[in-house]
Amino acid sequence: MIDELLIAQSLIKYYRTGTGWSEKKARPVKAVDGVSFTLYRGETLGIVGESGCGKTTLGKCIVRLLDPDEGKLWFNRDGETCNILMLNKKDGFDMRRRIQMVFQDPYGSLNPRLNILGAFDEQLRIHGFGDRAKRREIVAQALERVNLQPDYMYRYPHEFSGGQRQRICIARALAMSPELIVCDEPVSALDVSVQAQILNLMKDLQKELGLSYIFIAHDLSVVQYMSDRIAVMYLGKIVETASADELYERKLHPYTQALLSAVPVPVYGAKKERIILKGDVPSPLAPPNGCRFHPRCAHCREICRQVEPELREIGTTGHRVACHLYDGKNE
Amino acid sequence: MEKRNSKARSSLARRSWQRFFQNKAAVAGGVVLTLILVLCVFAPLFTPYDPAYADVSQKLMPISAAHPLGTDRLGRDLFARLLYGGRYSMFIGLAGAVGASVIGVVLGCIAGWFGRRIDRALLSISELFSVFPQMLLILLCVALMGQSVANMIWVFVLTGWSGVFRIVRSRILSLREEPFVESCVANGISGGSIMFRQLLPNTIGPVIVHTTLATAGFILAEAGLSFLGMGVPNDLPTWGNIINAAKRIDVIVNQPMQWIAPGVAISLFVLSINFLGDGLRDAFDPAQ
Repeated sequence: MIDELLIAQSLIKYYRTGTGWSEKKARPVKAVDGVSFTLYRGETLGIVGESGCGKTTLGKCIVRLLDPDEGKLWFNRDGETCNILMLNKKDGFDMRRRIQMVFQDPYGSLNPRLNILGAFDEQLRIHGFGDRAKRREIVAQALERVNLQPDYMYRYPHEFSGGQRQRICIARALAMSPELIVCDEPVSALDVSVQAQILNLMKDLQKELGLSYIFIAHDLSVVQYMSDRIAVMYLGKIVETASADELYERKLHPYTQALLSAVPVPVYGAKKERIILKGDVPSPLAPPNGCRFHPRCAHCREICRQVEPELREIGTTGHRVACHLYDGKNE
Repeated sequence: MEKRNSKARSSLARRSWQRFFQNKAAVAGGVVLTLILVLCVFAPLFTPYDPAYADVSQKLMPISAAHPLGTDRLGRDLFARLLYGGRYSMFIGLAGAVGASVIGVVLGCIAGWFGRRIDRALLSISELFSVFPQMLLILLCVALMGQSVANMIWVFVLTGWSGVFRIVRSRILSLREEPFVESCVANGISGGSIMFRQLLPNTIGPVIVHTTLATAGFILAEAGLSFLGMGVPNDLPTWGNIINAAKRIDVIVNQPMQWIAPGVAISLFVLSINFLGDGLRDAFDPAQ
């Protein structure tokens, strides 16, 4: 039985630029501009896109580090569906336990002045995980789950390597017994050999604990390895979603094609056709009319300049794409 | 197990202390400071005299076994006055510096954490205090509030908090962008708790240093004010008052010990606390 854990409905997050009295006049940065997706329980949704496309903002909206300006986030909370953006204080607080986040920078993710136990302790305490001894036990268990010795909890962050710190961060999320972990580029600051360790650890934990991940990354091979389904973002919008295998087999959106043509192939002398995009990403202050990708698209037509394409399903595999090239196909 | 844990637990502090003890000037400062502190705090053990007792038959005595630094114009033992005066001077300096730091830390946390309007308002107030000539402000406050030890401390607290405020504010401003803070926020930890439990310990190194240096500064300021006759009431033997009492040309020429002794005491104290403060900064701030 597959059930939905999280459904995002046209999430919008604009950043207001400028300060003070000029705030109202300035145009907002449209970081996330109408993003919808569905995440099923126990699966990993990969979110890829280049820098500045709004991946991290989306992640922060989901853990509610940021408040989306519009849109809904439906979360399946023990069988009943609720919009986590509209919850009362108490339930909203409980949601913060259920959705955890792992950050990109393992060095900044731990307070240098607190030992590991101290870093875990307060969040466990305020979420009612029991008395001191009980909390210490939970921390020990969480550390064991990420293959670290329990008595590391008395050490300070500077005594650990980057890979160890990232495992500690994962343990910190696990200690809260979450249902969803938003991973914002969790391995991009690590050595390649350590990356594989962390990724495998995360996969094992997912199997063991039935976790769901939203895996944000720009490293395409990492995303392919981790994800069940992938959403490709461009300038604050999702342009294509499909299962990981499907997306790599049959990429429909011109942007996805260009993006995936940039993945290096680990075969010596392999010939590859790179699709080189012209120009830069337009400013999210003033995204182009119509399809946001049209100024850089090789297949751009008149309609692309005027009408913004909707994300619609192609075929029967749940492959969805927002592109006028596929208008009229498979309605 | 428990023993190992306690060792590991203190490793950060231990490394800092190791670094501190490698700094010879800082250790020397610490030793001299301790010596002065012990002499002043346990003054009755080192001198049999009452600093306020005037024995006119003994006035202006030279250095002798009975009076290690001689006596002043009223026949009071100078050594006793110096030791008891140190109590007042150090208390004023320390209380002023600690009070100023507490205010600076609390306001700095609030300004740095909340940012925006609160930050702008607090920053403007602190700038107002720091651009105004401090000595003038102190003179004004003393003139308005009157002369007493408590008022002296209040004046120092009121005029001295902006330095610590700016240190703490800027640290918090940069720290609050760190992912570990975001992690706390995402877990629903309250702003107050993040400010004072998570962020404050990260600012405490520079604050300790600033507090020690401010102590020295306030002792100097107190001496300066007393010398101008605007400080602590004259009957209390602070170091500044002792120098003030020697403020006559015949005393300066004929009884140099009257001003050399308190001058040296102030200089030694300020120097040692400066060395100590520098050493603490180097030891507790890895960025230095």
